[in-house]
Amino acid sequence: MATYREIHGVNLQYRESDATAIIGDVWYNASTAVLKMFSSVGSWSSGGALNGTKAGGTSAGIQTAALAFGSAEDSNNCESYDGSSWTQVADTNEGRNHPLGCGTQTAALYAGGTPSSTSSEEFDGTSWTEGNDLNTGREQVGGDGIQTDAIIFGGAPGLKTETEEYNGTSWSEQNDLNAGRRYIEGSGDTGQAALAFGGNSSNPGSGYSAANESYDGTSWTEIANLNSGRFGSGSCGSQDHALLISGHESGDTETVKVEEWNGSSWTEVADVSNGSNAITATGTGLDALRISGNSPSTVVEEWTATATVQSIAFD
Amino acid sequence: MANDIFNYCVATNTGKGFITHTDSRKFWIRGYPANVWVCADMMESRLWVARNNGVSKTKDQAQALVTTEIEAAQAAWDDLSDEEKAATSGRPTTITLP
Repeated sequence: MATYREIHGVNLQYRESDATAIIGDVWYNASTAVLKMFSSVGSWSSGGALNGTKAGGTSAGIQTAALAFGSAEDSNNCESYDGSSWTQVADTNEGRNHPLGCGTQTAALYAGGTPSSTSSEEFDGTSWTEGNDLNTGREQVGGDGIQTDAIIFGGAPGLKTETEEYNGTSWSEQNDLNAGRRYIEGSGDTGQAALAFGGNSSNPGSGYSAANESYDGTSWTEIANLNSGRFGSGSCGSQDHALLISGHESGDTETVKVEEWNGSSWTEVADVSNGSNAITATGTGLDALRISGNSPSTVVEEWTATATVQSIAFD
Repeated sequence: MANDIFNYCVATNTGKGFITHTDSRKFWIRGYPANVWVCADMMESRLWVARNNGVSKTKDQAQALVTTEIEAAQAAWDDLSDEEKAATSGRPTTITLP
């Protein structure tokens, strides 16, 4: 079994008072003689149902102000969420599925997608405008960021390793992923601090990747794997706190499992109620939306978690 | 209809409020194709079924509904061209209810 130091690179903290912690931190409070940890506890509830399917689509924004767009059916359609219900807003210029979507409800980015598209569009809260194209056409991609600082990586056809960054004007080639994957997932607040995890590592065929790579703005480094390799999942959050939601798992099953990344390792947390693939997700590690999927295709679930300091008791 | 461990029903997911955070913290619940829902059999889950106008089913009835829906999805997938199949994440898989 790995030690705390081997996993985190540091020894357990010995403190006179509780730490100002990030999720996953563990410390010993010497004044109270109690081992403590900062962790999140969350659960899922039903969100407002989509008006139309977004299976194979993408999303942007937060739990109470989101966009869902790009899908295998009705692929130009874009819907906006206010925390309760979805409203149709301006269509995208091109209909594409399994693209990159990121940004906010009023400043979103939409790039790539079936069929191996290089197209890139920007949303300003009212309408979609064509931007400069990707250098490498692709679908089934991963990525994250905001409209002026985004990243796209992996995808198909084949098992792409190519990475590109967007600066609000143009896409530029960066260092490749270590492991090429399609249906790859990603999280990150900007294009300079991203995670790439899961995905399909064979095309065609199975190949449920558990690989997890971290991007520092220059290169990708392999870090702690997922507990359960899978593809076609939804993902959201930041480089330090992310969620991987449902997807297609080994054994050809559509899992209900959800994993949470705390910056060091993945932990299984509360399941979604409907397992599916071709999901999209948006939001943070504490407040997220799981959107659509192959079946049922208009379902939305909301993740709400609270981060608290907990005492660790030993029997 | 309960079998001591789970209860089975058909209910339409009406969106917000269908499953609340309180529900999901109180009892185990899973959704399946054909609007089939399986819950840990307890008072709270029976109240949830009633609140959502769920129609109770036996396990066999619920399984038959799921199987019919999956077989239809598998037939639709089988009719796709090889190119279309390659763009999907695979053939819909058989589901056995708990």
